[in-house]
Amino acid sequence: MQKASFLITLAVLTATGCKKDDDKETSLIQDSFNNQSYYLVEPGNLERGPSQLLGTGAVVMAAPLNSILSQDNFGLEFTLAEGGSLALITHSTNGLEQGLTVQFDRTGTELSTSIKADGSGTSDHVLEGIDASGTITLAVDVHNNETPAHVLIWNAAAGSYDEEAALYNSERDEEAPGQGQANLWGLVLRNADLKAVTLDAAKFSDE
Amino acid sequence: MQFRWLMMAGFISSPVWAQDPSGLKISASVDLVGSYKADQKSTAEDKFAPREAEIILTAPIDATFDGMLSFAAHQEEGEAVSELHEAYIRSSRLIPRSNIRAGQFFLGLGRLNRLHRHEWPIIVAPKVHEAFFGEEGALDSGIEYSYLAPLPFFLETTLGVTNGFTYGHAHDEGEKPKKPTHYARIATYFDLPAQGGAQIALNYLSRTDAESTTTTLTGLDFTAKWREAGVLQYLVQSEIWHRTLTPDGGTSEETLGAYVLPQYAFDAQLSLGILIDYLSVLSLKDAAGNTVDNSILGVVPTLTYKASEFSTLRVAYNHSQTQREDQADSTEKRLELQATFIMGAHPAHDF
Repeated sequence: MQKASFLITLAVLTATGCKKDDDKETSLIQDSFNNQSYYLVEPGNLERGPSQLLGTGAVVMAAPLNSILSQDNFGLEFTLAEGGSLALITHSTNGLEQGLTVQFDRTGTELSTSIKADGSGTSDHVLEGIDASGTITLAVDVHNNETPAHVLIWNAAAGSYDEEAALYNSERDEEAPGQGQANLWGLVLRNADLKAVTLDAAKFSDE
Repeated sequence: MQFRWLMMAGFISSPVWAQDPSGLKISASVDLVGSYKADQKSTAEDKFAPREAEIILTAPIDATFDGMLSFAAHQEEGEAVSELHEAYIRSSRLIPRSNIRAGQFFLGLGRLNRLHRHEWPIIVAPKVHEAFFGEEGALDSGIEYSYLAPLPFFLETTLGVTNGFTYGHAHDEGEKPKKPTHYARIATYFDLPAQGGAQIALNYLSRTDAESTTTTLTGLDFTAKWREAGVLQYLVQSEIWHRTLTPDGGTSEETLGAYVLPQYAFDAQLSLGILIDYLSVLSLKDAAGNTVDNSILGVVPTLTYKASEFSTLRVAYNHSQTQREDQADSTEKRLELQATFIMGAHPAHDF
């Protein structure tokens, strides 16, 4: 009897909770990079190959993050032309809106980062020890399950992923202005050459 | 029967607790845990360390009110960080058939969230609890009111409102929410054959944070116990929760999770339980709007040795499998150890 009532309640909860929206059609152009499918959000002048995105434009990755409240690590390998930038947008819509943006800008050999969300942003923060005129390899943790989101940036070449080793830590340097509001992610390139991008479990956990 | 229901609701404390009704009670609890890789891909830390140490002070304040204060120290980045855990004033005598508390406390929702972690029958939180309430539980400051209805059967209604500046894991004081955290729990109790008893409750929680993201939880918790000569012979504990997360102007995310824990005691000290644990984001969609099936399924056999109500040793094998139709399956296997002990009298909990 108890088992039956338990199963009935589960069924009711599931039925009321599992409201399914009709899948939306998309008119975006699909391609793949590093064996990951993406859609072109802003074609710009992007030169697109299986292991390179070069120039100016924006893409949203086809595969979603696990949840709006996920915590993930994004590996980036790229170069920037003088004055160029690369923006990683996480927890966004498929139009790269309502997300959390981690932007990297090059000025000479300096690489600076800033974070934007909810219509506001942090000031620029120079990432020490990075030569922006060469190939840049970064690991970026975005913990969107925290309020506000916790962002950590490491030099992936150093291979150490604790808070001490972080080139930028939003809890230490400047708090992120909010969180992303959806579960997709993508990249915006401005005179950038993206060579590799990976998505993995967060490198750091502060639970 | 009515007396039993009153005990169930926590209106009357345990014999240990009642022996000194006018004095200050101080107790300390220590929760030591270890997590070890059971295969090479595991992310377990291979470390045994204190997870939490807690000092609890409770006392009747006067003829009407009781007070509760607890401090907990837990590991954060290798350092023990101490913080105010619970601090509340409570009374079961202010309003007839009612229990009211005000201050900072674990929200009176569900099953695990109403218990301190060292009192759980498992070592690590089920995935649904961790995802919806945090690794330990949802803690906030506010007021909570429980009412035992004058009916021929047990029916207790709990209503609560808390600040809601933060919810779950946060590293600052948060921002004033658009709607504070508010919640309700309606619980009933019924007898089971073979001198068993069960409590079942419906739960609801909602809040809208400063960024206008609305979180709504609905859930059901169920606990059944069979005791023989004071020994908990069989335990069945389960919770099912559904969460809707609606960002301002965004698409809602629907998540469903559940766990069930059957536990059998071989004797007064030794028991074996198996936690079956499930979580899925029902509304997960790719960039083209296609639904992506996904789930995490965990199975955690747990062997418990309780020398007394004041000391517990546990060993568990935690096996969880993550499936997503657009990715390869991944498996996490780890061995977990736990030792908890309580020094001094500890307040009783309800059923």
